[in-house]
Order: sequence, then structure tokens, then C-alpha cells
Amino acid sequence: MSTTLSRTNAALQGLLLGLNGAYLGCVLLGAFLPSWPFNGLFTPAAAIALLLQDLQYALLTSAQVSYYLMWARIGALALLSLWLFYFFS
Amino acid sequence: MAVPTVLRRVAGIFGNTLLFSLHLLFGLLLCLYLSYKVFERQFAIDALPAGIEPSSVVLLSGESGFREGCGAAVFRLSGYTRKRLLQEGGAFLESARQARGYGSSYYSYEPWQETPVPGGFTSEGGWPPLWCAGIDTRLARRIHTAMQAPGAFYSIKPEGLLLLIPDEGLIVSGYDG
Repeated sequence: MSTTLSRTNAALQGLLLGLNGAYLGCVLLGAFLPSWPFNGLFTPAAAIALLLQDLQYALLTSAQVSYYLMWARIGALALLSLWLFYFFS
Repeated sequence: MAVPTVLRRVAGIFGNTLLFSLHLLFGLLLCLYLSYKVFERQFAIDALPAGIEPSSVVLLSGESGFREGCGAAVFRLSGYTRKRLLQEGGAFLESARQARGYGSSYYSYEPWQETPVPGGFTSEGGWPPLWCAGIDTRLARRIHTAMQAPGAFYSIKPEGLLLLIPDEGLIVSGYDG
């Protein structure tokens, strides 16, 4: 059984890390604003997804880390863009 | 990067495929939820009468059962709409009687009136849609105060009420039923 990730899998995992991390960040921000709602199902799901991410991070090769982090930034930017659209467009 | 032995074992037991599937499932769940939130936002905007322009979302939330629901949408009034309301009052709203996105009678609004709203809307210790939406108490207090004093405008629709508060710059749409 392989204990490393494929390049595509690393990109997808990075994207999901960014989405989940930024979503949880927005939920935390929502605690200070009367807006972005805490969701009893999706907030714990995002937290569990981040914990699972920790397991897979260890499977990345050193060459994949920067690629993974680039996709994580793309995911986070996508979610933050959606957040801005949701409230301010 | 060296993989710690324990994690190698975990990966061996559960397998990359299972982890990958779980990740994908959680990712898809989150994307579905976010898509729903965007759809819900557009639905709430489309239910506002044409001519009443929101500038941004303050709160959009509620509770729903099988066929019933209760909740509220709170938007900030656009500068233009707020200015017209402050200048012209209720006359500005005379033609704002039908939702911009829906033509059915369920989305038609009764003639606009100035607050206070009839006592029945706030007789249960507050307007129920606000509590269903999990609104914070400061914002709820501002809305309840506006509902019970002159200076704001409201219109009733089937299972709902739309309130415009020019002084606060808020549009509040609540539904219950």
C-alpha cells in the first residue's frame, strides 16, 4: 500500500485544507459579527476534516509540500471571496 | 519528508483510499452547504419587492421542518433607498407590492403602513422569526424598538412581514409558517 500521495491527491487535499480552514475562520469571525451563522452540522464536519488532514499531511513528500500549500491558499482565497460576495455584493 | 511510524501504521490500517474518500465527502458536504447558503441569499433578495434595494447581508438564518419554517433575513438598505425613504416616507413604497423574483400571490405584499406594527407580532416576548434566526440580542432589541415606534414601515405578506427601518438603515424580512 502506498504511503505517499499522488500529485492530484495532494492538490485536492490542499484545496480542501484551504476551504475547511477558511470556513472555520469565518465561523470564528462570525462569533464577533451578527452574521455568518454557526452551523451545528457543517462546523464540526469542517473541524473533523481538518483533523483528518493532519494524518494525510504526514504522507506528503517534501517536493509536494509547496504544491499542497499553494492549493490550500487557492482554497482559502476561494472561500474568502465567497464570503465577501455573500455579504457585500 | 519522513513519515512517523505511527502515522505509517494508521495509513496502513485505514488506507489512503479511505482517508481520501472521507476528505472528499467532507469537502463535498462543505461545498453543498456553501452552495445552499448562496441560493438562500438569492432567494431572500428575490423575495424583496422591486425598488427596495439591499446593499449587504446582515443576517440570514432560520429553522425549518418538513413543510413549515421560521426565520429572518436582515439586510442593510442601500443608500439610495434609504435616502428616498427618509425624504418621501411611505409614498416611496406605494408601488413596492410584489417580490422582484416571484409573481405568485404568496409573494405579494399588502399596502405599506407606518409602524407600530399590530401588537400580535410582538406579544410573545418578541417577534418569533428573529429568535428562529438566532439573532443577537442587541440587533433584536433595535428591531423590536423600531417595530413598536413610529418612523419605520411594514407590509404583511402571507406567513411573513417585511419591515423597513430607515433610521437604522435595515430591511428585515421575517417568516413564520
